[in-house]
Amino acid sequence: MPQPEIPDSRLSVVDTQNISKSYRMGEVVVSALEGVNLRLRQGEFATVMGASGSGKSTLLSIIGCLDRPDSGSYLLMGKRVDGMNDGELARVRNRNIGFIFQTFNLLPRATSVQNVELPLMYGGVAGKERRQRALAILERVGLSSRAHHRPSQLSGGERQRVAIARALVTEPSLLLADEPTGNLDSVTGRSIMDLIQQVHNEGNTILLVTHDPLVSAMGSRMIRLRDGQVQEDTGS
Amino acid sequence: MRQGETMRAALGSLRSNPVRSLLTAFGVTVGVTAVVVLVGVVSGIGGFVQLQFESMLSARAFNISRHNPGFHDAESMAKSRSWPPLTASEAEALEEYMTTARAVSWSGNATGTVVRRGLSAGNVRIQGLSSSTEEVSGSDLSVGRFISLAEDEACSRVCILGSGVAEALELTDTSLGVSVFVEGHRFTVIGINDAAGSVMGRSMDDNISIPFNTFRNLFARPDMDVRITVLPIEGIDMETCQEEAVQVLRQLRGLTAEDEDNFYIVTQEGALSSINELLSGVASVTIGIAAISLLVGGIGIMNITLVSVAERTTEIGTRRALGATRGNVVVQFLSEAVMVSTLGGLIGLLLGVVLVYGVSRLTPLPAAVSGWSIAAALGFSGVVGLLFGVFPAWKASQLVPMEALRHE
Repeated sequence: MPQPEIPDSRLSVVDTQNISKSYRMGEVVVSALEGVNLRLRQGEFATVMGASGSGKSTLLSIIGCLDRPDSGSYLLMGKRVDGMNDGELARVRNRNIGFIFQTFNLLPRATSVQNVELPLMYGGVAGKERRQRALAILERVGLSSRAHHRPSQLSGGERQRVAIARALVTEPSLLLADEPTGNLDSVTGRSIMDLIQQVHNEGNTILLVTHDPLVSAMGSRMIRLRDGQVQEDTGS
Repeated sequence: MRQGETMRAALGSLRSNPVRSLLTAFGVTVGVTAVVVLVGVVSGIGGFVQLQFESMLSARAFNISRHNPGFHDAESMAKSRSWPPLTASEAEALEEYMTTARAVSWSGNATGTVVRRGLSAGNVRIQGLSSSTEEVSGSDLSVGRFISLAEDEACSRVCILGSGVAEALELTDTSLGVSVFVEGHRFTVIGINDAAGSVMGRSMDDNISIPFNTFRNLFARPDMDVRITVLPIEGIDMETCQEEAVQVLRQLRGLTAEDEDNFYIVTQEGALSSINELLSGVASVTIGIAAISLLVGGIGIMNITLVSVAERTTEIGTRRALGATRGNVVVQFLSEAVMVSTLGGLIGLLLGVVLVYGVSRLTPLPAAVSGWSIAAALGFSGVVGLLFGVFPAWKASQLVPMEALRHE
């Protein structure tokens, strides 16, 4: 059923037009996304659900500028990014996107504060300012006392907090979370979701991929993918 | 991003795997140790041989000999063996006829035992010297005097002892005039030489000098080849004097214009250049060994860097997601490879310096570590890391970020 265009004064953070992506797996070409249109406005907290193989990860990687669509256009903060080269994409990821992974993906040999500093380092922020900003953000996620611990000395929940601090430290336009509670027990998972909720309340735009309907329910909008297409979108 | 911080990150990753880093660096260590030691020892030998030549033959004088020091092919060696030996009468004739020579000396040598009152010195070099030897080559007497012309002409049984022989026979500076027995012949000691030290563990002081004619009568073989040394007159240049020596000797030997010389003129300069030729041959072998071990070391480094890239695929994906460019990834792994390699180089240098020091303490070779061999060792080990790190680092940078992240 075609829906009428609702005028919205808020800026589109993400705006994809008809993006498709397929992968070659040996001899077979697998279509992962087929003509996905997705607009995400500033301050939205959208969740993406769908069975495995529905195209969630592919969508996340294209929106996260980790991969390019085969066709269609993608505007991030009003700027076309689908035709950018590798170096430009690295810059966009660094400046505009914060990633939160299911497995935290902290560098095992670096302390919490060093992990949080990493995106600032790639962004060319000088050492002293970098350290200050990293410590400030660690305080915001409640981990000041763990700033100089290594990941192996932290609990799962603490690790994910460090990862969230790392995602936030560059003040990105968009936070992308891939099953952020997938590796955590339910109590810890809930506290992480509370933190993400708090981050959203501070005005951040979030796109979160999950299997868990309870997690999905915390978002303001739910997008369901099936066979590479948007099956349901509660917010468009 | 500042590359210094990438390098610091690389250093951190080396520290987290110290045993692996050291083992990887070992190949380069061996190569660099080999270079430092071989260069140190070879240049030590070079300096040593030069010193020996300078002491054997002054820069002013030249030798006439059937042998030419240095490399020779079998053909030229066979040819020089067919030449007639040089004789004392040829030397005397040179002394008589040459107008550009200040003095000509000649000598022959044999080996024997010297005995005195139940004490004996074996394996002594017995050298018969013409009385002109002192003028041509100088002497290094600590006490006494050199052999006189009269003693040589009279075949006197007088001798000058090398300090080693004197010591073995318990003779001192006050022992002039005592008798010793050389292969059973009684000789009177007229001088004792200063200690000259040892060469390659062989003493230069185990010798005894006697008048040439005495030597010829008692110890020489009929086909003895004497060594002739010519000292040019002050102000006459070497070449002029050499040319005259060649002409006189050719006439004496009745050589026609078509015949080649059947003797060599040996100068210190010529001898040194032959030795240097030999040493540069040794040096190129050294370079070959070093190149092979550095190649092996480099392959080890490439291998371990590839392993490191494979192990850290997820980390590469994470770094790329956080904004690392391909260049950042290349620098990270390349600096890791260069650091391992340079670490290997540093350890190798250290080992090499210790070994060279050991050689110079335990052998008479003045082996030393030269500044350029240090620079070359470190430079080459860095270059090895760079060359063999490029491929793994490039491979790491080409990973698609998404695929790297999904890597298990």
